Amino acid sequence: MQENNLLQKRIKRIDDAIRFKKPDTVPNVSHFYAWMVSDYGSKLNPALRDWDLSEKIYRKFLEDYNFDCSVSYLGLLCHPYGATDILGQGAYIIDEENGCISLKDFTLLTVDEYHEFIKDPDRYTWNTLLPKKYAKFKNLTVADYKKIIDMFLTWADKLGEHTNIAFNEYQVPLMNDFDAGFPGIEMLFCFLSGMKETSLAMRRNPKAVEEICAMYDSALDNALSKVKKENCTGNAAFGLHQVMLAHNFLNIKQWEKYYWPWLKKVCDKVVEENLTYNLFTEGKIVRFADYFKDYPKGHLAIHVEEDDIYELAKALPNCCAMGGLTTETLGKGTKEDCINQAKKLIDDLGSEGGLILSENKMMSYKRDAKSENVKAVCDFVAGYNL
Amino acid sequence: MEDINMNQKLDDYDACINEFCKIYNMSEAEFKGLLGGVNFRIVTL
Repeated sequence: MQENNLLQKRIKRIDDAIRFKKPDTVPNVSHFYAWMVSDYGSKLNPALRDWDLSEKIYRKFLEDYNFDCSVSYLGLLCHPYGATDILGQGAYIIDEENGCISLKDFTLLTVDEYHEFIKDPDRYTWNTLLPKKYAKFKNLTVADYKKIIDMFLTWADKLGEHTNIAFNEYQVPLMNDFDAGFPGIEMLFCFLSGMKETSLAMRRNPKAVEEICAMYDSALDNALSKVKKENCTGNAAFGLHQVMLAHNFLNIKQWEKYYWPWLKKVCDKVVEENLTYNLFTEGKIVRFADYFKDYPKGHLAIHVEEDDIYELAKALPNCCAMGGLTTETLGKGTKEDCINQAKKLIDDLGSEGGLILSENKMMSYKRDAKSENVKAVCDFVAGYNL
Repeated sequence: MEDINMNQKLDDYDACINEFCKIYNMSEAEFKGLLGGVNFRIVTL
């Protein structure tokens, strides 16, 4: 039986940690995705196509582990994967043996195409990018593509259902109230041009990169116009949530040109509205610490992947440190090792707020963690009163 | 209900938009909003 007001307790716990107020216990926020498929005992292919199965997997995860906040694994995949049955294989590689999903680095849009793409992105995507990606696209019919659109609509509904199940039945808060989208440079690196082409484009044709980034970044003002304290639902763990990857491939000059102006606008707005901002920083972020150091305490929660969380906490004492639970320990250690790791993090960094425990990776491989270790950490953290 | 050409090939963007608007009973602007989301997912799949 769940305790009363658990939802509000969890929201307060997370907010207290970010605001550097002593929480009742250190919040423990899940960063588990495809891992929960193997933890359920399923293969990936059926779990990515069978909506009933996906719900069972998510329910088991919510029941087995009492995280303070959680994201549906369907959210990470970002796609109705069954579309590949109609279109053919895409960039994702499903590895059933190792229980993992990998993504090939691919170049869909080359720098020479940026100018044409900007004129009408929808038409260019339809006429050029989709046929480039899927050889049989132009031979398919409206009836075929209707199946894909319907699959997308179902997937979006199911994502909403997962969120509602977590919220209504398990008292798990929503992740965030507002969404700023992605800066253009992330769109290029992660989705359209890939790492190699974008890196070359920034050197060979920076004007074209600026143009396409400006097109995407122009959407930010509209997104931020909705970010207001009075528009908060009171049901979310964070004001905003961000995943950052492209910064890893940028030197300081490129960061200042392509990334920081966008991110600074969001950070400034978060502070202005007295909200909170959770940034999951893939790779390393500490080399950019100077850009975040002058923000007042109580707004930014920086989730580290490859950075040492102690180094982040030292470099940015104004930011809540997030992460610290490593796949190395969760996947290979004993229950005792995992509890010791969690206890040390809490004692060293979290006793007066300023720490949110989470995993240092997006937990995708079945070997990333043993079930009993995850359970042991969840139980320990929930019972370790400050 | 208007006739819908479900066999329209995807090689004609405007003709496809026209058919999809009829299928989903949406204006062109509404449907393009939906299609933008779908295509972004599909093109990066």
